[in-house]
Amino acid sequence: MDAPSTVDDSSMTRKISVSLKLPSEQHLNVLWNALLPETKRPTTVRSKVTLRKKQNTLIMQIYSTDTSALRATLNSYLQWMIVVNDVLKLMAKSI
Amino acid sequence: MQGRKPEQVCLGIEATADDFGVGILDFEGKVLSNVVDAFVPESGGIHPREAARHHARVAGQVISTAIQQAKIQPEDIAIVAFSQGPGLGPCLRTGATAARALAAYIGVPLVGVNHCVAHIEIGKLATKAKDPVTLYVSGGNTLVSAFDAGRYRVFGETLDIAVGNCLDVFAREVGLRRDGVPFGAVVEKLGRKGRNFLNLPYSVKGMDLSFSGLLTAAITLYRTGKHDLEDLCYSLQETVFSMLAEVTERALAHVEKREVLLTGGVAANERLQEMLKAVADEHNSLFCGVPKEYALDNGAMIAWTGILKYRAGVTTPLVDSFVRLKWRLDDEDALWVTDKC
Repeated sequence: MDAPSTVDDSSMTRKISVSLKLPSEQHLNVLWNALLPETKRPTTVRSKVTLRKKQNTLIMQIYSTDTSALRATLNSYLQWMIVVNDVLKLMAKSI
Repeated sequence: MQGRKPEQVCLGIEATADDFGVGILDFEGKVLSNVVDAFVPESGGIHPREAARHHARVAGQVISTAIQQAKIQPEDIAIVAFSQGPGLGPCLRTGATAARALAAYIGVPLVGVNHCVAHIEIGKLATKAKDPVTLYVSGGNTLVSAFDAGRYRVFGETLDIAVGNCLDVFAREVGLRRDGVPFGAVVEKLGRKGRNFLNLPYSVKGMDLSFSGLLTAAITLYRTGKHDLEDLCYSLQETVFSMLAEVTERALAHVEKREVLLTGGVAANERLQEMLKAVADEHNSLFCGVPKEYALDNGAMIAWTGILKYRAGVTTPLVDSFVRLKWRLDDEDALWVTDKC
């Protein structure tokens, strides 16, 4: 199996929260759909990610067992957000 | 397909390893664009996170270029296909994220594609092969496959490293330089000048292959300083390609197909093509060499396989579109393939 086993949530002592305000509900839904599957199949047992929608804002919370894992997970998600942003910018120009 | 406008197309995203590719095909199989941006490390092999960073950086530009070259509008895109696996996790996830975003924005179905299946399908499209025995050789995969009983079956495969990886590591270890071409091409060029065959371990185990021992042996021979690099390249190629030819020939004799398809990055090697053609001729089969642009990792192969899957009624819900790092070729029902085509 590709997905790692889980670890006890109580060991996830590091936490970071990122709020991203999007220009429209459509943009929010695109970002939501692009990122959600990644939260369901985490690449490591050392981090867990949750996503929430609040109006046009995406709230992402990352819980990790250690700071290195927290930073790595945050970097991955930020990188994917940049990809989604690039796609959205491209579509906005084309459509 | 019914009711679709003829101009509607599939956009496919390939991002399993070092290449980020986007291909756009119409539903008849015409390639409208096929753009690839390759990550070339300054030294050493592919670091998955560095490659993923490259893909994230170029994704928007490559998609944009592919759409412009295809002369389409985003609303002409009927499906978005993406390489769902197997491959390097960070790279796959970057490609999958871009594909999900595109599909969600345009509001079209998403189709997850097996990278190995895609190599076979684009090979069939490009060479008009109907039902071949396929030798798929690249930096990440080495396998012999043929369609049987609803799936592409694996008749033989590497037990350790892929043949492309074997050639790349050898080239790096002996200090060869790329000079703008793949390491495999550098080894091939030197190998043509070799005259003396040096014995290397010939590791065919049943129908499977092993390259790591012979790689070590070749590097060890080089380090003795007693042999010309040309002879080593020649001997390495002759040994590994003979192993591949043997396994392909046995699969061909077993399944009695009438075509041999050679695909993957290593398929560009003319000596391997020569050997496989000889095998095909011996069995009254047709040798089908996939053109380089489609033999290497590319988005067109993902788009075409996405079309085939979509026509067979297969789509990938967004929530299930997580990547599959170890997705085997024979883990998927090839619903779009009939027994005779």
